[in-house]
Amino acid sequence: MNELEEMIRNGREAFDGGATPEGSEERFLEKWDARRRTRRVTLPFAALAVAASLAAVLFFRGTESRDWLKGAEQTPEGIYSGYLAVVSSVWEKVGADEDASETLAVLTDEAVPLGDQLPPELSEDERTAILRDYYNTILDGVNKISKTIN
Amino acid sequence: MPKLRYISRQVDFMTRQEATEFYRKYSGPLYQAALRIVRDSGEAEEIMHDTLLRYLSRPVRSIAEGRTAAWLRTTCLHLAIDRIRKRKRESLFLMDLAREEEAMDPGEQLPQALPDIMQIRSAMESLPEPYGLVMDLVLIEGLDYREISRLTGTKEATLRSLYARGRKKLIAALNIKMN
Repeated sequence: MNELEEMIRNGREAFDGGATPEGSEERFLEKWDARRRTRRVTLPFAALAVAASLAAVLFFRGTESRDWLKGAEQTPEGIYSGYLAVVSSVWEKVGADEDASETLAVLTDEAVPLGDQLPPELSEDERTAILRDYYNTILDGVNKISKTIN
Repeated sequence: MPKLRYISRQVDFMTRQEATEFYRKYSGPLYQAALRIVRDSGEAEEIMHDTLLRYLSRPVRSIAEGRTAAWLRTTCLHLAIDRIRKRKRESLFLMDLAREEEAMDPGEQLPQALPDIMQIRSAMESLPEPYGLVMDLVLIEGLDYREISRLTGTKEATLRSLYARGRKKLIAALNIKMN
């Protein structure tokens, strides 16, 4: 049987079923177009819902919260980079789980990062503190999603 | 923050031409992998499309350079296996499917004249689903039992048993074809 197994392993291309069906590329691009259009319409509403939820969470941030960003460089850019690093690792973990993926996307999606929206009159320390609080709150939610994935 | 990039999806920034090139680069192997598992070209195409779109819905920096192909393949296999699991509506679907089969023991004697690869392919395609699936994942996709266990939720011992029985059935099928 080893000889047979070797033949199969070495002849993998023979097991290919031929080209993708005719029109497959066009059908894919239609789905891709539709996804882009849907995202642009629904994102503002999702963002409003998330902003409202986050405002409530910020006010009532509980004792289970952690300072996820204490190891990051304590500058506005350092905080944002640290936040991106954590979120990226959770995206890797989410994989093909559609529910977790959708929830993670709503939580973490930002049309414009908060740092770019803060008034310029704020000092760097003030901006760092605001961003740290804001992104720590999001990461509390990201952590909860991460725990639901096997 | 002028130097930092937003977390946003590649689908927002990719031009249609880039999306087309991305499709052309990855669609073939994904379609083939899905087709070998679900054995239906329409479903295989849907799975392939879904896999590519899920990748494009990821944040721009969420997948390390060079790991794209591996991520796509794993996701595609996961979706294909999930599709046949839903088809069968069984939680331990591989084990239950295997129980449906009689344990025949035709002996492991290969035909005297070695079959060619197309005969082997035809024989593998004729194998019942649990055996064909496990043999495909081991021999064609090159996965080890631990990876297959993670994909299917089936214990490694069960997978080894299915592979051993699949091997016997493959030889029996080849003997029939060659004779």
